[in-house]
Amino acid sequence: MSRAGDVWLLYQRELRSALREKNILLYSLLVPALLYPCILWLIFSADSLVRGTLEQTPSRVAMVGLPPHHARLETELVEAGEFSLTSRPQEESLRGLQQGRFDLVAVFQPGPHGEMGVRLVYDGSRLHSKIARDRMQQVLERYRDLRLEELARQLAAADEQLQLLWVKPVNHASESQVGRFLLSILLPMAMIVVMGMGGLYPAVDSTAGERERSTWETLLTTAASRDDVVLAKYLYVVSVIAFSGLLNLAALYTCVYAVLEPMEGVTISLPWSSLPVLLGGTLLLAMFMAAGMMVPASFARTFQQGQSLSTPFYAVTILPTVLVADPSVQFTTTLACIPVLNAALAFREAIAGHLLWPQLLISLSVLLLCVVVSLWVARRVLAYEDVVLGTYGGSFWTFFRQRLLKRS
Amino acid sequence: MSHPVEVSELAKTYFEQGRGQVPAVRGISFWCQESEIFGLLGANGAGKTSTLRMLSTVLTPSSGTASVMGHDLVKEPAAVRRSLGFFSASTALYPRLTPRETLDFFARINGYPADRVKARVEELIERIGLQSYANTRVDQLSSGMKQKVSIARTVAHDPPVLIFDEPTVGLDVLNALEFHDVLREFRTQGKSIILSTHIMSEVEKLCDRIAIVHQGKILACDTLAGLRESSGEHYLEDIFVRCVKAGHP
Ligand SMILES: Nc1ncnc2c1ncn2[C@@H]1O[C@H](COP(=O)(O)OP(=O)(O)OP(=O)(O)O)[C@@H](O)[C@H]1O
Ligand SMILES: [Mg+2]
Repeated sequence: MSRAGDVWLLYQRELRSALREKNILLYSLLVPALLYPCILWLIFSADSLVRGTLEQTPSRVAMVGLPPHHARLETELVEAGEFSLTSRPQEESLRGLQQGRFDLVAVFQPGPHGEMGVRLVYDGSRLHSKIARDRMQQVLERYRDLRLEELARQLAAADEQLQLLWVKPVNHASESQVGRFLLSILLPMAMIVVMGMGGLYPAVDSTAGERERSTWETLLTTAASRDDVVLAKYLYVVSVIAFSGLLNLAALYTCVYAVLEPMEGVTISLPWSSLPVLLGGTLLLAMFMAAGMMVPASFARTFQQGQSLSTPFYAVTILPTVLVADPSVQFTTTLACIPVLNAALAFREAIAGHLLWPQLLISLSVLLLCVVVSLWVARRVLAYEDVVLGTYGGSFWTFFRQRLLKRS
Repeated sequence: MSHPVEVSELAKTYFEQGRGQVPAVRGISFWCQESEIFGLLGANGAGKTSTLRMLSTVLTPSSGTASVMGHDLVKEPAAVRRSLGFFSASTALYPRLTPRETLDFFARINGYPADRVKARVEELIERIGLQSYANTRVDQLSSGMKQKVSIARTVAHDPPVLIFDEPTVGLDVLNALEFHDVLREFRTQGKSIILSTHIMSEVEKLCDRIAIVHQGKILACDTLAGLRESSGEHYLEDIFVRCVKAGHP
């Protein structure tokens, strides 16, 4: 049979086994596909939950010395339906505020001509207290407007004259923030974390796992060449990682356009020019991650060992992508030299519509170099029979020191 | 004239951290012809598995040569592997594949003609009586059934040479006897079979010729009758002990 035929057969075998493994389905398919919908849902439901409970809780207000000729204010407060009112002496009220029994203390100070000052004492460290203050202010302003209107009418002013200026505030900060947050912070990081997570299990399963289940030698005694066996495994892990990443990207596009676009005031666009960067970056990352996780894992005899051997690679390369969430971290030529992080930054800038060519070219070369070096290391590792058969005593790091650097 | 399997002065020295050089096989030579069961009999650590792993090209020999169906071990490893089926304790089945998928995969990857793979797989499934479990995942089969699938896997591509390393370890008596019948059947089909074991009775019953391996060397190699004659002992157990003692005075 042709070499390509052998590799294809071996590849299919890997994939078929993978698709029957719960963990691979979970980390390589479900998490990438459902991550964004879940995060969006969490953000929205947490937001409305907090707002909902706050709206339903009446503000506890202690009233100190409301003058009798302003008794209408009390009626309006009751009608607003957002307050539970009590009248208390000032001392006791302030103590109550301190102890959290009241959210707000309103101290009324009547003037000599029927006018009135109100001091709103609140606790700035408590959300409920600030809400009580806002609510009270709204009622007070309305009350004052009504009194002014009455006064003006008594002075025979026309209605139009009273409407000198009106303001209608519309707030859409929260929705557009969600959009911006999701795109610039979540996407590059989540995509890379998801790719790493999606790749870790297949990488370890197809190396250390194969050895633990004693199927490795079965495979080595088939007519397929050793190179083809390894190539098929590598292609398998690369494709799972790339697929996780692309699935994640597709889920993001769907989410953005299905959930955020229809919202009023949200303007998000993923420029089509970002796609080549995203696709190319995904592929290169997949190639680098697959080699980076498979090589250390191939020193392990059990799946667990394999996982702990390849986790450092995962941590060292993937954790720095957290930096991407910090908008003050710029995509400089220096950062473009750090593999994986450079891809994350390139993703972020591409989504924002910036194609920074020098940085992109540096990132591309650095990632390509990483892929080549990791494949070269893999070849060196596979040249040693004891490592291939799992009887080598040390880990990847001892191997690295003793055989790649020729020191003991 | 050349035999399907010819082994000449094969040797393997492992290097192990702490232990240093470990000579496991020190110049073993034998051959195996068609329709023959050739037995490698030896105690633990004698070097049987190492020899067979070299023969199946999993290990590279430290020195010596061998050929399978005329293909040199080192120069044509892929052709060697295509010509043989290798079964040992460390050649397990893929747990997440079904027996049908397993046989199909191993027949194809070992170069069985693609247009006849389907028929071959069905024939094997019927032969091992696994029709009703052919689409059950291997990890859900009993160990007896797994063993049967494993044997079917070994012969899936119908190779002329079969290597079995301690095949009956862990099998109950009935399954072991059934396996003996299967081996005899393979012999009738003209296969060259190499069987490694430390179970004397198995060797006595099945093997046409026997090699007694000890500390990486063949101490004696003959038919059972020949061994009886040269050693003057009747039971294989006694022959074995005498050989080992003579080899190491
Ligand atoms: N990968 C290895 N690295 C180092 N030493 C090994 C390795 N494999 C086997 N050995 C040593 O080589 C010697 C022969 O081992 P081998 O497994 O070939 O014997 P065996 O006849 O198959 O024994 P058993 O009946 O126990 O299976 C033993 O001393 C063993 O410890
Ligand atoms: Mg053995």
